[in-house]
Amino acid sequence: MTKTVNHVVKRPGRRHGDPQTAIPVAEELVTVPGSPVIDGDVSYYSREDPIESQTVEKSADREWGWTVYIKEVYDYRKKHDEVSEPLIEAAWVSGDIEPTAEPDPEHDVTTDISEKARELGFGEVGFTRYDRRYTYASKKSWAKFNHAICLALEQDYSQTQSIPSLEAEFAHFGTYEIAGALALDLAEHIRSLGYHAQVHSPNDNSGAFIPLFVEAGLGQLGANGQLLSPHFGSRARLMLITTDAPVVHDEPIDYGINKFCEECQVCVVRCPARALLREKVWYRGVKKNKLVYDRCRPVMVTYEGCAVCMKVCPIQRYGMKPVMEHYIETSEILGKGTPNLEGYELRGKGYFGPGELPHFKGKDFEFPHGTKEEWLFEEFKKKVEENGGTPNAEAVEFANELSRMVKAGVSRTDE
Amino acid sequence: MFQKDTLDALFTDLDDSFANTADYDLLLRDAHLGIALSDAGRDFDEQVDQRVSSLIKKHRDGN
Repeated sequence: MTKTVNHVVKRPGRRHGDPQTAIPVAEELVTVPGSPVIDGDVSYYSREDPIESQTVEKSADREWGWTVYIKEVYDYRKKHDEVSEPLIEAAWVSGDIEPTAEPDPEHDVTTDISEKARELGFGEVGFTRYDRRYTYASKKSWAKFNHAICLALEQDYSQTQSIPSLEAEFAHFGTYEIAGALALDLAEHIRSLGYHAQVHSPNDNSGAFIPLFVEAGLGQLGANGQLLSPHFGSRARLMLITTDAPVVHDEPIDYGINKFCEECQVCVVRCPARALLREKVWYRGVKKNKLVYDRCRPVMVTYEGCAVCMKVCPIQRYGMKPVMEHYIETSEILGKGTPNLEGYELRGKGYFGPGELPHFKGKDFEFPHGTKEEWLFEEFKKKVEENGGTPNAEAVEFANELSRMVKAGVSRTDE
Repeated sequence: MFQKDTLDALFTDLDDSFANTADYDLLLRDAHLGIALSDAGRDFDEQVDQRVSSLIKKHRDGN
């Protein structure tokens, strides 16, 4: 039976110049525009326990990852870091560069920047207040300007459908490389309009970007923890530019995703690591599906970035419009339960169709936790407990390794 | 419903016929959408490219 349509969301087409798309939202999928949020809680956690980059607070497993990658992934990631380094450095100082023209108060900078971003190839562009509550603790003093330009670049469709694979990792990291370079061009354009622009490199994140994208109306948070945008679903790579240009802010939109994901659950049941939770929880002031990092991370590192949760999302595979139209007409989730949407292969483990999941052993989920220093101390403590004392040589080794880590400091890449 | 072996054959066929064409990306997207609609028992002729539609029917019907 056809469901009642509550509202229709109109959005720009997938590519610059494509006709507008209209996405119907069923009455029973309506919740709130954007994400359910308790604003006071977001502020409280931001102040008392600010979020931090994985590169900083999970540096032990970031380092461990390099020892697990298959050779092809290791070599490619090294190459990616080489390509990213100058982009990261350019982004790092971008906020200090002065504008190259005087601003024209009559000029519509919002439309201008949006058009330029679409011309450059960004598939989704939106504007919102730069909400510092989502900035990493280590980047709070770096981030400048009060307006955020949210930019999403679609990653290759064909390569994404091969997840998990080396091919898909080319799409993943390659898209970040392209986005990082394009954003430097866009920042230069903003400076030519008379304003500052700070590029928040997608290869050196300054915070959680998804909440800002949701506020800018570019999508809603999916059960897989990714932004589900109208054309790409989760197949987009996100980045920010902050600016003092007087842009007009967009509003959050209810695409019906909050409720849709509760009904769909394909990513939850297909996750090879069983890392996604079925029920939403309130976390740091936002109602969302949380993933279990300790289950996700080892599988992600071992199997070419995994990302099965991205691959099997029907919004990613078919786009939001046909999926929502199908739901309204049939009350069903397009592709759910079919090998075409749900099937995937894991290297060395074979093919898994709907209802089938790979098996892992407990030791497959053992990996270093916390920062490198914390993990070093944990290992040292274990040795002390096992030996009933501290052999001098091990104490010296511990001190030397700690010294090396302190001298190395925090790297902005994984190395 | 399309099973793995039929899907593999269909996408191999799609690659062999169109991988080097300018609109391959669009045809691939259409193929996934058409397969999903076919699996759901729905008509897909008007939603996907005619070339893709023919290919899906060919593999679905085992011709």
